[in-house]
Amino acid sequence: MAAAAIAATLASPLLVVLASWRHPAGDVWRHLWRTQLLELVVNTLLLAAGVGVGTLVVGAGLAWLVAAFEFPGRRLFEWALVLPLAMPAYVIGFAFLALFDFAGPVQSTLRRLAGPGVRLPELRSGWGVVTMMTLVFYPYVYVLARVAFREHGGAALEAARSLGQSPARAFTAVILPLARPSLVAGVALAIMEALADFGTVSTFGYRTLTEAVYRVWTGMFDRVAATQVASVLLVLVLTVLLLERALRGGRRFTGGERRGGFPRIPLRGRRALGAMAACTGVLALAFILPLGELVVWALDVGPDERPGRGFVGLVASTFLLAAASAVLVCLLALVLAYARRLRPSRTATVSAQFSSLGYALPGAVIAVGVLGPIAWLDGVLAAVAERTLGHRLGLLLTGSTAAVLFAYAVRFVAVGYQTTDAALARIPPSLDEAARSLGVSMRAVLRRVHLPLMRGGMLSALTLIWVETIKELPATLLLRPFGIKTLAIEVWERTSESLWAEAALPALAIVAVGLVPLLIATRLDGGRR
Amino acid sequence: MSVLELSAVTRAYRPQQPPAIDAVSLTVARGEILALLGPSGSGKSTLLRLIAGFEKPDAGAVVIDGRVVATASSSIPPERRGVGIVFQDYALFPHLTVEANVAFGLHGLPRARRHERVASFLELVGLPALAQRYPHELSGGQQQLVALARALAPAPAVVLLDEPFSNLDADLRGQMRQDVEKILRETETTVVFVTHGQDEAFGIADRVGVLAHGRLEQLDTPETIYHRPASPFVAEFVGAATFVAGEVRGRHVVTDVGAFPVDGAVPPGAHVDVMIRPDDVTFAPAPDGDAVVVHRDFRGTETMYCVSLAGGRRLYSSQPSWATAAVGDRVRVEIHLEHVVTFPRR
Repeated sequence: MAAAAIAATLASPLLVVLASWRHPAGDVWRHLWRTQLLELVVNTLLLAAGVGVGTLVVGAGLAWLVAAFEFPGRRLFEWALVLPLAMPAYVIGFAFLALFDFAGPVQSTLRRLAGPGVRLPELRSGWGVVTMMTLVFYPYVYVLARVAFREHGGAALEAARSLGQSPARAFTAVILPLARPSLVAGVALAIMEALADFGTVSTFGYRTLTEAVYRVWTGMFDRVAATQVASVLLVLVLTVLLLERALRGGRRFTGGERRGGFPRIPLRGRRALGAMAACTGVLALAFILPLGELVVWALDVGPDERPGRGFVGLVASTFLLAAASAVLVCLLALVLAYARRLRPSRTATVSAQFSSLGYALPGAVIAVGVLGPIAWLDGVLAAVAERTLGHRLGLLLTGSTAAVLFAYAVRFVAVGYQTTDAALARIPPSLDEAARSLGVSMRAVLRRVHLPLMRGGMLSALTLIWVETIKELPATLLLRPFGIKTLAIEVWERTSESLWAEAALPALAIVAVGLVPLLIATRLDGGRR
Repeated sequence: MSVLELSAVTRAYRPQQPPAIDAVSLTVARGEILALLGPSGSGKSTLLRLIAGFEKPDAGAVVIDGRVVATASSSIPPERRGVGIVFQDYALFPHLTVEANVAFGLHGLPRARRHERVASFLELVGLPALAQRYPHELSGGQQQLVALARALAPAPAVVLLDEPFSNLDADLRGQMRQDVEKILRETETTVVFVTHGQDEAFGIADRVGVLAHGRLEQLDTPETIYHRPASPFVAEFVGAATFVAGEVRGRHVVTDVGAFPVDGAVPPGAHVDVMIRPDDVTFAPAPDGDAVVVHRDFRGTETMYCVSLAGGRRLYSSQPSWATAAVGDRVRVEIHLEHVVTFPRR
């Protein structure tokens, strides 16, 4: 019951967005339809396609390099190539804008060397955005592809080569098809992130649906129209989800799996240099260069711009908001996961799946969807207050922290659920029964057996959600209470005013926070080996 | 005096299908060890879960220590039944030490008394030195003993053991069987344990209940189950058996491998199957014998032969390992039936 209630609450924003079509389209919408909507949809589709192809090529290519070949630095690269995941797209975006701007260091140097007529292609464009997002999102494909290649690749590669195929032929003929489910999953994740992105497209001035939701909302104050734009985006996202299902086709390849992998093919001479150059190049562009730029700016600020009280307060409020989000989301996830363990019913399973949809939804869609239920609840509360207390309350929840937390819960409950559910699944049911046969009630089993055993899983769920919340931009931006700021908002506000240097320090803080889960993951990985 | 009593307990998961447990009745006396024996899917684990309280009966009643704990309409939860369980995977709490595991079920005791009790039960299972270890630091046999100590410590009315030796290596199993039986006898514990191996059931239990398709086929001492099985199913499940067709004439049943005496229960003229076990059949080498050895299976302490009789009928014969005959040898077969068991012709 509790699980179903949570699921219904968490799914309500989705339904609100879908239901927006019942209202007649307003003037703003008609205007949008005539002038921009086609451009917005085409732009968004191009972005999705470009990021899909880009992350597939870069992610799968690098994964194949480190999975199948041995070259100097391979071990280091294998690990380091995940690092760009810590870098939010809007951070790398503004670092590149500053570097490659007309007045930036790269173009200035070029002009000095080759004459004033030399120009680089404009970064504030479709291909610029696609490049940025490819650099940041390729690790989704890389991580999944590397595992797939290592697990399935060995036997298949050796069999193919024993049948007279070159490694390159074996890769295209056998390994790629075998890894397809993983590649599809990775690319789908990357595309979802691209569709959800707001920060990059807005600093690059590239008009997409996500960006339009924000513009319609804050520029024209038309909630209905914003919701309708969001619903178009929602349809796109659901299409990607369905495509992912269809392309995976429920196929799971088993067999040929070998623990410990297979011997890598050593590369020498020019080939080894090529492999190193490819890895170094991607890593430099996606991580080292932007990070270096941030550090230089952060050190470069003048004495009166030094971070003081204000920055400390900003960090504190961000961390606190994220901590509240993490605790709330983990509690909800625990209830959902626990309901399924106690009474494995259809309701419990469907509730869990329904609640997990939120992770696929862009923050902007959730934000407009959350406002509906919150405003309704405010209305109810106000009515009740007026009747019982006899005076007006005003809007209690709208524009409050509760609204933001609600949005976070919708967006991140899947992260918490998957982690807690996995931790719970590792506890054999016989432990519950053993405890009960020893005279312990159901409730005490949770306290005395489950929670101690789930501590590790719960901690990593808390950390993951905490980090995700800190990086989140669009939902926070749209729903935040007046006067509340987070690191992500600070970065976005500074960069939209081209105050690059002032954005550097909060951006560095976000990157540092983003590194935390990666370090935890590597440590866990190292423990298992 | 009976500690556990099941009367016509029935459990049906789906109304259309035959019930998983079909009107099973049995009683277990204080200090008795009862084995539930049956192939997988026979319902023996379901029966154990019904006694423990993890399943509820659709009909019938479960009585523990004179208290009705489950009927079709009401069921006392497992934590208030006073039933100890040793699980197949031992189900030790991985985050607790051996000591804390054994103390888990001891509520409402002062600290010192609890400590004492834990120590005495660890002493009983011979593991006092391992009190501070964690389960993953123990061998399989040690985990089993800790699980047993944990189940015994709260002094339950009945202890249930679910396939207790199936997770152990073969060389450890025999020793563990002896150790566990000794502990159970010493503490005069009332035990129901589930197994699919008749050696385990025969070796430890006072009485054995054979289950098939949710029904209790027979409940008796191991000797009776083996020598006087109540059904062809029981006969075949607890040991190799061949059935030979025969007809009752007077006080004998006449078959094509010989005539055997029968008691008055079988009416003359009836067509029956006579059960013949490998240990009833002997043979001697004879160049003019009408039987031929067609298969030989050396098993160490004994050798199982298959001989083909003149009419093509095959019989199994277990012989001491020192008696040797080769495949293809001609032999003369003799059958000595200590207990003549007949079933109506199938």
